[in-house]
Amino acid sequence: MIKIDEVKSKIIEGLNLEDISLEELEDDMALFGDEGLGLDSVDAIELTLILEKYFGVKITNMAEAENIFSSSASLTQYINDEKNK
Amino acid sequence: MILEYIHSDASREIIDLQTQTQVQNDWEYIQTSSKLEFIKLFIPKFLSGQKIVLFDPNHKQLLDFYNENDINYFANIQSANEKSKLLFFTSGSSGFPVGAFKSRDNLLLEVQSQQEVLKQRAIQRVVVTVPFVHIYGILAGLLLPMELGDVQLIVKEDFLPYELLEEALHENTLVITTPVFIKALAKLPSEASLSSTLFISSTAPLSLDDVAEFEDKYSSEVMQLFGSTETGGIAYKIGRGVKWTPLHGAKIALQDDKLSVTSPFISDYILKESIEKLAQPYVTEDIIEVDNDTFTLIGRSNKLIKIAGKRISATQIENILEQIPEVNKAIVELVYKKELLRSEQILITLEAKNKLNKQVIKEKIAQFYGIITIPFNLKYVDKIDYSSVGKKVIFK
Repeated sequence: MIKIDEVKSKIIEGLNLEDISLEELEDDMALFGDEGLGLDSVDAIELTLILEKYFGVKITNMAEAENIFSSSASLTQYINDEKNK
Repeated sequence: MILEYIHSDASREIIDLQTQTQVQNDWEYIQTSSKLEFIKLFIPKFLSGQKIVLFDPNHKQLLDFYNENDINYFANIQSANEKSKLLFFTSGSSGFPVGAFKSRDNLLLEVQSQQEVLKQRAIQRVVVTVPFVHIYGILAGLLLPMELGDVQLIVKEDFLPYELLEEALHENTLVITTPVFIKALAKLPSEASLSSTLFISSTAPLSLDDVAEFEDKYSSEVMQLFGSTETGGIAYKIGRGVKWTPLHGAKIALQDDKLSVTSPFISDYILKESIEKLAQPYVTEDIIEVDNDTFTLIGRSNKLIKIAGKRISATQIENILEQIPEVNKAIVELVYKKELLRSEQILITLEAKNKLNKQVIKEKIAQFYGIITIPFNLKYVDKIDYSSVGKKVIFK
């Protein structure tokens, strides 16, 4: 089972968010949009590559990605669901 | 023209674009963030001869400028109105908006020049990943497919790498994209061959390694376009060479080590604080080496940095940040991180009374540059001061 901090670490490292700590990246914080971390469509592309490289999980369409990428918690949930299939 | 639009749920809609509309005498701004909406509005207006203003509606500074200044009553607008049909707005080097007027000839001659480079290819489909509010999107993403004639235009608001790969797998496809997707596709664990697909990339140069990795992986080719909003396209290169070949019609020369261009694609008029005639040859800030008819890009001559094709003034961002009460001094530098899709980032070093929420800085920059993404990292130091030559330096 993948822990949420592991996913957050990969988000921070993979997106080069060196100035954000694990604690600052709250589990339910929105990853996209002005209210949360403020990631954008290029970050979404980068995230799909990170997920596949580090967790072996593939995301092939944007509609699916919108829900999965809503927070670190939803991302972790998706990774674990996929790994348990 | 037939448009195939891919909705976010992957369903597809075939749209026969209307080609005529009523023309207004005034300049009209197409204010939409939706690519589909944009195409539906732009094509009939452009084909009917409507004068159109284009910029990203999320760019607050440009929107404020546009709302506060009626373009139709700008001094000297009559001169620009004689031939101009499109007005592109960008953040200028000083942060103040710059508008570049384009005539139909500016645009159509450039598209014909692009077509000349592609004439050996039997293009049947054009897949566009870029937005249409910038000159690259209009020229390569809309006007080029129209000029190519019997081709299918495929558009989606946002592609993920696998979605783009699926589209690029079709034979005789031309993909209009940016370095982000070239690098992202190269990282996919795919063994697909894209040998009959050509990728055009612009907005930022790709490193030779990135081009080589992509081309070797997919047996495909990347053509890069180089230019700016004011100059239009200047040159192209195909594959992994370092030398740029001027587009047919563009003549290049060297002036004080800088690239000087004479071309039919250059705007006749630009709008800064007033409307000015643009002289030719136009000297850019790019330092080059010329070799016969080709040139190599060496660097840029000032503290302007280009991120995803957008000119950013490091000095201006420093000034903006120093307006935040907690910030004493700021230093802004360009850093290149090859491992990231968005390789060009800025590093902001602050001498500040206390640490700031990153959102505060993002919002402050957005007031001047809109919500264009300027990827940045923050670093705090105890002291920034001026050296004996007036340059800011970090004291550790």
